[in-house]
Amino acid sequence: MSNYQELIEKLAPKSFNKRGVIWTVALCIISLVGVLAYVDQLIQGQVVTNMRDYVLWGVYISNFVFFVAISFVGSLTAAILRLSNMAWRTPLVRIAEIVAFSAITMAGITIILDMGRPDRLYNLFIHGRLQSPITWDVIIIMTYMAISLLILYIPMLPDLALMKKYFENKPVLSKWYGRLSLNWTGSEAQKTLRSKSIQIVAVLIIPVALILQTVDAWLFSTTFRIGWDSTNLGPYFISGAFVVGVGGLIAVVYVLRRVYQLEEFITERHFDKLGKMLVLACLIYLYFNINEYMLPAFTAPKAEEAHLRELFTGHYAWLFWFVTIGGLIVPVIALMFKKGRKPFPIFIIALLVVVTSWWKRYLIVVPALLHPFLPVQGVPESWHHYFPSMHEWAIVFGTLAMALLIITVIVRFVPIIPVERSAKERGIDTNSKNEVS
Amino acid sequence: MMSKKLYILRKVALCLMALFILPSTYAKKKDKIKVSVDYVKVMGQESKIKVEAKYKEGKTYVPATNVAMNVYEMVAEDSLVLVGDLTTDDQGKAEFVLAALRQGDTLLEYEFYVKVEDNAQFKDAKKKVKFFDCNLKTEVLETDTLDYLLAELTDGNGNPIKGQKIKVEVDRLFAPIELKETKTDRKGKIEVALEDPLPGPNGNLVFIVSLDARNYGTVVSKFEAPVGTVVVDKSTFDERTMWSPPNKTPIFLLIFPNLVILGIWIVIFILVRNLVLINKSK
Repeated sequence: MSNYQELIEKLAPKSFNKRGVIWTVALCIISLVGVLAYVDQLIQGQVVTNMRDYVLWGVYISNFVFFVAISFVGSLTAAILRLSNMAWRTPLVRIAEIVAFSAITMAGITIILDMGRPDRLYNLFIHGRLQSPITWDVIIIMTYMAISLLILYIPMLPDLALMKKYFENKPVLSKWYGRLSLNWTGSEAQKTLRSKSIQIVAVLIIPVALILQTVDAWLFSTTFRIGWDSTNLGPYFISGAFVVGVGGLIAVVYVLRRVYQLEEFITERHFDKLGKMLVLACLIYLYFNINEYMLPAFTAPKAEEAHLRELFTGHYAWLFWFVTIGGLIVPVIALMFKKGRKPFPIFIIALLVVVTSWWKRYLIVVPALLHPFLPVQGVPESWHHYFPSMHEWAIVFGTLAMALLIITVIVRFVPIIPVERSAKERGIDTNSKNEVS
Repeated sequence: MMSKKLYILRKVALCLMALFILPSTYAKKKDKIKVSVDYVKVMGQESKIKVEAKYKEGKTYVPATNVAMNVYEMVAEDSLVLVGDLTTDDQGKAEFVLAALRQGDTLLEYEFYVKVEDNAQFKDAKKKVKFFDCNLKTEVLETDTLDYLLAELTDGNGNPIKGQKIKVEVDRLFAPIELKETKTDRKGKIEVALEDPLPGPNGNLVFIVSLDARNYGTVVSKFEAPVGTVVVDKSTFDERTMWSPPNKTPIFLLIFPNLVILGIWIVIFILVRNLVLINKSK
């Protein structure tokens, strides 16, 4: 067997083993529970949630913002690393693109879950106002979804052609790979078109990703609400997205490396580089957090003071400090040391970053709604506070499971590390690329 | 024999108790109703007696709804004449219109009683209101320099009433704006300078001049005068703004975001076209 064939053997997608099946079945079950909870929500109405007149955006929206944030760096990292032609990026970019695509798809679905009457969604298009940040958000999410799919798919064409040959003994699978590879033969014309397309999409995705995060932030900052009315929110969201995106990428990379035994391709050097990226992202985000909280604390308008007191010392204090210390300060300190950037420690830190980032979005959305300008009065006591109901949790976990399911299904059928590029970087002769045993 | 008689007597006594005493013991205790009565005269309209009734339920007062009351007038020193009746509404309030007040040679003090009588739920109650009739004449005097609101308070015989506090307000949507509260002079007059310009629809202001005195009840004069500043409609309904409907989107928003979106999607279609070309070339 030639080196090239060995490489293909190592990187070709493999059937699930027992753990893979259990994992997939578990995700399917959690997703199904989420779907059933959503159907019940459609039948009974949003009364099954704990959202009321004051907290009219709850965990669905914080989950949506989380997905949008994670999708950001998947593509942005891939694009920037592609454009800067850093060689170490090769094993990571496709995983990042898969994560980005999965996240933005779930972001689009999650926002629909928050609608009381999703059957009236078409009105958003027929009667949409271009002045509304919600309209901008709908447009940019659809645009980003299209671009994420293209940046995932176009570089994959040669590998899909390889898989067509590799799975010749499985005719149905081979046929599908053939179709998806768009008759890729590696001709000069095809290579030129592909190369130009990748350059274009890698450049295009950067401003679109920035616009996506900024518009997402403007959903909040174009209101007068305390905690949201801030000119700082755009860059705050971008830097936050960087943090959660790199964290999510590290977590997924570690798991896939373990499961598919890719230690030869995804080395400790990659984790070291990603760790440094995460430190940088956390420091930038910490800076924006200081801006976001310290300035209102300094000027202390009355309404801001109540909101900040709730976060710093009140009802949400434990969550706020857990998110800030656990999600920003601990990662920065731990990742400053080389030992902290080893695969397993950085995986734990990445998980911590992702979990705290999810709760960070919750802290952005919910406490601000519980401090309107006019005091909450003359309403049932349950409207004075908010915690997601069982329906909401089931649906949220369902969406998270679906995101992981999308990633699981894609990596089941697609080489997660670009085969042809890996071969080129290792100096392996790919001329015999059509001769796959 | 004696013991048998005693036994029968005891039984009869118990039955009588059950028939007369027990029902009254278990009969519902009547509540005490609290009635407040006010005489209100709006110049140019009918005078009214306004009634409000409430009672204590637990620790709070609640409106006494649907309570029938009789209205009496004291026409002689001890002669009460029934003049009508009223029933409280679901807020415990009612109004009794006085068609016309009795006239006499001298100034009459009117005395009305509102009584709750033979009510199943409430104990009998009564409330008295006594007042002298008076008139409040108002006008606005427009001069070159300043406008003045003039009011004159006279009794039923046309004599001026001095030393009474009169409040001057401007009527607004949620609550009136108080301009001044001042006492009538020897001639029963007040004069309020309208110094600060107030906006009003088409330049009109509705003034409320009122007297709330123990002897005269509440007397109100409400009138409109063209002494306000004209409200200029700053409606942006016909403008292209960030809050207008889709057909009035600001031009810059129609051009630049659409250019950006179009530009991005043209590139996306070029990329898709490249995929088609890849598919076609071999």
